[in-house]
Amino acid sequence: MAAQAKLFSVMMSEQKRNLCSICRGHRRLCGKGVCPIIVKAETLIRLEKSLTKENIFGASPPAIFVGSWNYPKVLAGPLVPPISVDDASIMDLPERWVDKTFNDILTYRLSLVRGKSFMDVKSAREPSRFLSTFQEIVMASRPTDVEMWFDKKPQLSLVFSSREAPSGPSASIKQAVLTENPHVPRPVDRVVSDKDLKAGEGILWLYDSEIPQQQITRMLSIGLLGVKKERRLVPTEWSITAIDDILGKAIHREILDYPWISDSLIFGHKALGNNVQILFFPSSWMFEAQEAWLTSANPNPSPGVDYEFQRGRKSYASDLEGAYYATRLPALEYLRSIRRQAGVIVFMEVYPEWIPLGVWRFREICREALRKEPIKFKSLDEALYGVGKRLKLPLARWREKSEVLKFLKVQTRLTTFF
Amino acid sequence: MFKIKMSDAKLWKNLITAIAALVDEASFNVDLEAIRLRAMDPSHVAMVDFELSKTIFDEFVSEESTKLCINTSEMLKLLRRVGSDESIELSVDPKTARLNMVLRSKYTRTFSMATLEPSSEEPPTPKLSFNSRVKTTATFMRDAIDDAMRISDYVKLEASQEKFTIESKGDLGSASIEVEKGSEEILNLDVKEPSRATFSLNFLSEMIKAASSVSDIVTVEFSTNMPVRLSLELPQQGKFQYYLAPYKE
Repeated sequence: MAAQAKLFSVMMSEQKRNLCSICRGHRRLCGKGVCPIIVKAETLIRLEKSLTKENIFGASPPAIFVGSWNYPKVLAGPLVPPISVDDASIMDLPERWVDKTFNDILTYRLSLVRGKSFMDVKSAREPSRFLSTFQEIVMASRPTDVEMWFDKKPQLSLVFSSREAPSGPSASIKQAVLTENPHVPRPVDRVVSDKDLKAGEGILWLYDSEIPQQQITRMLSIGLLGVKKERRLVPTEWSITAIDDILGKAIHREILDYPWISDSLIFGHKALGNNVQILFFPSSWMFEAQEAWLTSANPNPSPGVDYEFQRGRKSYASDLEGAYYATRLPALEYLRSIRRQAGVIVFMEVYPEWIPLGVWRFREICREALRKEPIKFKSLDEALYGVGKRLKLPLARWREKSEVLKFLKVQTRLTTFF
Repeated sequence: MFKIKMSDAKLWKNLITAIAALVDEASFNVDLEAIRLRAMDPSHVAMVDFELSKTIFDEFVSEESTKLCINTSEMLKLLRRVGSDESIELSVDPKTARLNMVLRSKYTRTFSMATLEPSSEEPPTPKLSFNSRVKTTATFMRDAIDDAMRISDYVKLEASQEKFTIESKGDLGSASIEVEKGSEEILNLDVKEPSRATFSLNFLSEMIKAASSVSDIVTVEFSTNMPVRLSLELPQQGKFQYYLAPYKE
């Protein structure tokens, strides 16, 4: 289980692509005239000044953060906005961010004050009073009023990650209490109180009960899922990708029974400095994701690629990492909704204006694209040409990296020899 | 109504594993004489052709032609702890359409599992004549494929009157595994015409891995740029063959 959880840890390559996470506004490596981080940080310093006290009161969206640093003794705690907001839930709900601006999202995230407390990941089996409180917050489906006391005034240290969205000032928690009874959906209560239910089964049950993916991710992270004796805290960044993978695997098994689609289809959507184009073509299930980071220094990069054939991957998608699982899930969700299987290639372009706010944007841009009407093509070649017109990077750059296209081109089928 | 009994449950498990290398849903045809399965993988690149005649079984009761469709990975889950001293008995309850699986050794284990609706039509076998026929050990094949996989995701098989070569080329380097006629690893090398063809290691490695647990000997047959056939050795009247379509040249 430990190895399994670590499977989804963020490697240096994924971290590196997210330039801001390295530069953090210090060196302007991105070449942009104005660093959005610095701008935002300045507004935050003002917010920080309003945080004069060592205690805050507010409605947690609900949200939680479990760090990966110092694993297995990690820093965990809830995120609470010290200001009154109409609907705090949007502050931790990427499902609703795809049509927002950078400014909106940064404002949501950086207004969240993060409480920190060192915990052993295994303490999820016998939760302390702190952890029980955190878990109660996460079980809620609506914002829940929380009061936190800190050892000192929360400090801002901006950290950008490839996977999760950033958060605002943080401080060590002295005490945390819920000041209202959380509203817990029945399926959540059922899965949490079932001490023999495996994590995988619990996750699928919650998903089928239409609990938002973000809430399932929080629950896995704070150690509410799995056989009681094996529960553990899972760093937020790992749990995001673990949930994408577990849900994807389950749908993958299901769609293998469905007939092939009959035409090639393209779906696409652009948002937040990202362009995602999804190509479906008639075939048994195969999936490839390609990701290109177009920077002013390198406007013609070679895309990263990971892929799988019929039976799925056995190893971690080590080139694209989180982005692979975050785009595979929406593609599978779509195929399940039309009860078909297909070959799928996802083309992702990241433009210089993107700020690393998390891997959710690939998942949500895909979902948004798949809500639209597709463009139909009679052949895969025509469809590829169509995709090429919707991307900045020339089609040849994508083609030369595509293992799925190579397979289709070189592999003959036995049916030719009947 | 049918019921079959086999003294070696482990062989059954290994056969199912070998089928599972290509298909998740296995649709067996059972008639008065034998149990058969011929199925392609979903991408139509590879095929398994399997047959066990009634003489292999300790008991073979089949009154009519029927189909038995099961999920191979579900069956393998139940067979996970099969021991070498166990026998296996399979029967279908006509009322519930469930498959009963009884494993007997010092004690008796009975499993029941769901059967599936038989789905696709059975494919024909490819029409092929083979110019090269290499009878070799499963260990040699497994090791050679394992070496090739370190280099690339495809492999070229090449046979001449003198030797059999397995070659792979990748970005980082290349590998060539050669075995000459007369080597201990080659039981028979019969080449009418020098042949070479390239295959996906994705498929080939799964096949060879499964093959080596069923049989010590593998016969590799192919012609230039044509599908390869891998035949495993089964006791008495059994057949287990894989077909794999080549890469285009």
